[in-house]
Amino acid sequence: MRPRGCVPRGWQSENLKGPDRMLRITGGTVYDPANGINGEVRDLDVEDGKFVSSVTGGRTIDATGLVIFPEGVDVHTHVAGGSINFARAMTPEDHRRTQAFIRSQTRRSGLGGMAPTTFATGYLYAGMGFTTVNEAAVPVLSAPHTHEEIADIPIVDKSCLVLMANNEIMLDLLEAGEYERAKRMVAWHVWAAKAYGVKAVNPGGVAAWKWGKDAKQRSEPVEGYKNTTPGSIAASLAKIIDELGLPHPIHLHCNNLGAPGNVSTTLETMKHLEGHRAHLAHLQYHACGGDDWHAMKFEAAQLAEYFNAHPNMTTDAGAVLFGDTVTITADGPWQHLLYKLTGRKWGNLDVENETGCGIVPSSYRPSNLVNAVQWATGLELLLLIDDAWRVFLSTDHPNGACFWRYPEIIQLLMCADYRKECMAQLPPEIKNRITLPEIDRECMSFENCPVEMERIERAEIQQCIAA
Amino acid sequence: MDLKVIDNATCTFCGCVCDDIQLHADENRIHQAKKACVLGKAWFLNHTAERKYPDALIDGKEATLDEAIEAAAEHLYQADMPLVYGMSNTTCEAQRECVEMADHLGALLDSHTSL
Amino acid sequence: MTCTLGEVKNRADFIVYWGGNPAECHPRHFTKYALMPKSQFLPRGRKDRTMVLVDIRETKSVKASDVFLQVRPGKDFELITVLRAMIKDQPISEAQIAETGLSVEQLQDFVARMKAARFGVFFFGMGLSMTRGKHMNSAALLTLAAEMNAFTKFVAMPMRGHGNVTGADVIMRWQTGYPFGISFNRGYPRYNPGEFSTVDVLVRGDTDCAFIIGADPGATMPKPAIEHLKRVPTIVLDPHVTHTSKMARVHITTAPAGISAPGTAYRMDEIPLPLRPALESPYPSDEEVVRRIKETILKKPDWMGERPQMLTTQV
Repeated sequence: MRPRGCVPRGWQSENLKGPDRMLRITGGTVYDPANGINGEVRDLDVEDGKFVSSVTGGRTIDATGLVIFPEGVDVHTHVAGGSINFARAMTPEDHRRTQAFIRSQTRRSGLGGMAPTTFATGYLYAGMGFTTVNEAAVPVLSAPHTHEEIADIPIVDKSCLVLMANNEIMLDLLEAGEYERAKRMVAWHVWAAKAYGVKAVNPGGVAAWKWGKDAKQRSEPVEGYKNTTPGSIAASLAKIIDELGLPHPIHLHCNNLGAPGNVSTTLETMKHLEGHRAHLAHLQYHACGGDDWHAMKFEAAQLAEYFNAHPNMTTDAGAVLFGDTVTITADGPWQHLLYKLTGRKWGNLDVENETGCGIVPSSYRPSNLVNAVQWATGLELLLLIDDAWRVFLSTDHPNGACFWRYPEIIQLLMCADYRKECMAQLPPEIKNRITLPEIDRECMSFENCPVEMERIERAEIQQCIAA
Repeated sequence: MDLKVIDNATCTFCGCVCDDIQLHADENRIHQAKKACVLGKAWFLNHTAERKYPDALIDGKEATLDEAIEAAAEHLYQADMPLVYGMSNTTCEAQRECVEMADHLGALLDSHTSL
Repeated sequence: MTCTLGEVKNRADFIVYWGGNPAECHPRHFTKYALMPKSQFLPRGRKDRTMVLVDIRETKSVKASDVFLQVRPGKDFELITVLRAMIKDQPISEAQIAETGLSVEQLQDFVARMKAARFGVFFFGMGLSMTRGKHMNSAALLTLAAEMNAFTKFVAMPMRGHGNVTGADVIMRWQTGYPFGISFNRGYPRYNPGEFSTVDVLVRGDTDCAFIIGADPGATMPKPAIEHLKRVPTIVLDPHVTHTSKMARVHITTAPAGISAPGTAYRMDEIPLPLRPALESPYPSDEEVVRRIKETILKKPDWMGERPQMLTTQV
């Protein structure tokens, strides 16, 4: 690609010669849980992007008074492609009231808010100490569009996941029992979309949505098929992805998102996936108990317990923060329901062969019982899962909240008193529906590393220095 | 005469952007546009690779490309409120350059859509 | 509610063209995407589909339609509103129906057909979006499509014209947040069609230099706008010497996109497609020329001076 008008990658570049290959960062307070460094003031020396014991020459950055910590990785976000761009078109009023980045000789202008522009996305992520973001839903047909936008997100590294679980050719192959051909097809799609892995959204459900329907039951065949069920799609894909040896496991958005009682669907799905690696996306939305909206409660504890006992899984929280946002998901049927519930704008974008995508602006309010329970559940999941290396901080940007509000979540995780303060706003009926008040864990920056619980996929400290 | 055949060429005349056109061309012009519609055929067959116009005109007089680029940049740079307009019959790559230029100029930016 | 054209090809058994004349303006829309193709779920092609045309006059597209509804000029919004009421069984007076120029029977039949469809689509053209009511008409039709989803699957999409105008729209959205009518004069994008849209800017005389690429406003814009273009320095990039080039201070000849310049163009459903040029042009591409102009400008001293990096509240 052509170089963009953005901040140059600087010393990370492999093309650098001579003294530019060296970097020395002095006087910062270093946190590196993977290597057991807990708040030491020390100097760091880097050569060719790797830590070394010392360097001579090169650039020096004075980091006195600053914190140095491992890069953040956002494993599940929506920052580039047709759906977020549709959301941008739908929310001009939000662009007007949000923060604005002013252009300089080296920076492009941009707008933040619910659906930030590409340049602003890069600046906002980098400002929080994130270096890698993963666009979680790319239909193969419009993958070139996603990559064009990705090229305009400066500073951070980008990857994306190609959507597979409602691909009609794929479903036909599975229905006919042509497993080997299905496997080759997945491989081709990952190659064609230039993706890092495979995302499965509401397996079978989006295919049914194309006829205005949904797939609610895991064991019932998908609309238009005889044998293929949401469960069998997820299990086959997980197996294919393991056999292909893709670095990222199946990235699964379970069926029945947000619906009361879906925790049983989620647990059943997890059982289907035993013996395979799997990443369960935005688990908060899949942790509802109860039979209807009134009896709705959240079952984070139950899910966390199962999750803790099954090391084959990773997850991201899909946490919710109160405030305005715009929800976008490939789960078309859910978005139509949300449109009917809220009566707000609704956009829907169906792409042949694979996906549908719904877009609805939405507000999460503490006074709304369901929203309040969702808020608590996201935090509960982050707090109750023991192995912090398997749970990622995410809001499923922009669904639960915008990514640039992550520091608020980190504060909630680190400070039980602040949580109590926030819980005071919640409606009284919330009692017995959540377990958050009983949790007094405070994730310190070092304990299991939840502050930077985004997995450090490359165990090297990048140059992110956050004040 | 042997014509060069281009399969799956893309027609940008209307919003359909048909990408299944087969073009038969020599060095100077396209002789056939198979599968294209009336509008598409006219679009492909009416362009040539000949040098029909001067490289550039400044105040109506022929000029070189370099001179024209300098002059264009100077006009835009000197303006208080430049306008960047159009962008329909061009590529996305050029459109991206246009947006970046408008951003840097502090310009007005608008497309055909607003008409 | 929209979808890609492949979805229409494979699924849409009920197609409405509203305020457009695809037979003459998008000739292959029928054959390649919407009406004729035999496809996965519509194996008999045209026989499996119903096409309704809504327009103010009989065009060549009428021949291709099963039902033609001739709406009274300027009454599209009224017709859509009546339909929105009818699908929900709300009371409608005869006068309200008569105003649209159509009969009760015609409308009842239309509503019944919409509801009976498995997958319906509205394609709307300039006849809807550029006549009285303008974007209000498009918004009303989108709402009708959204509300139809309570009964069956329905989508709506504009029939975008003119080359790669969709690409411009898409790119401006991801780079600036807005689709057109943008001002960068405060260092960040602001949007206000009517204020920053070209015709309005030119008619008010609010610009002192115009850069025009891939368009010929000299042939399409109202006279007062053209008069202003003649007054200010204008720079034109075009494969031909056009009406606009003749009044320009600087004209640069460029290679035509898709014929001799490579690149990408977006289809009306926002799917990017690569261009495969057939000829070698003696002229540079638009991309190259704009980049060189931009780089020349970037070398000049920055006029903006000291500014904050970011504003938390826009002014």
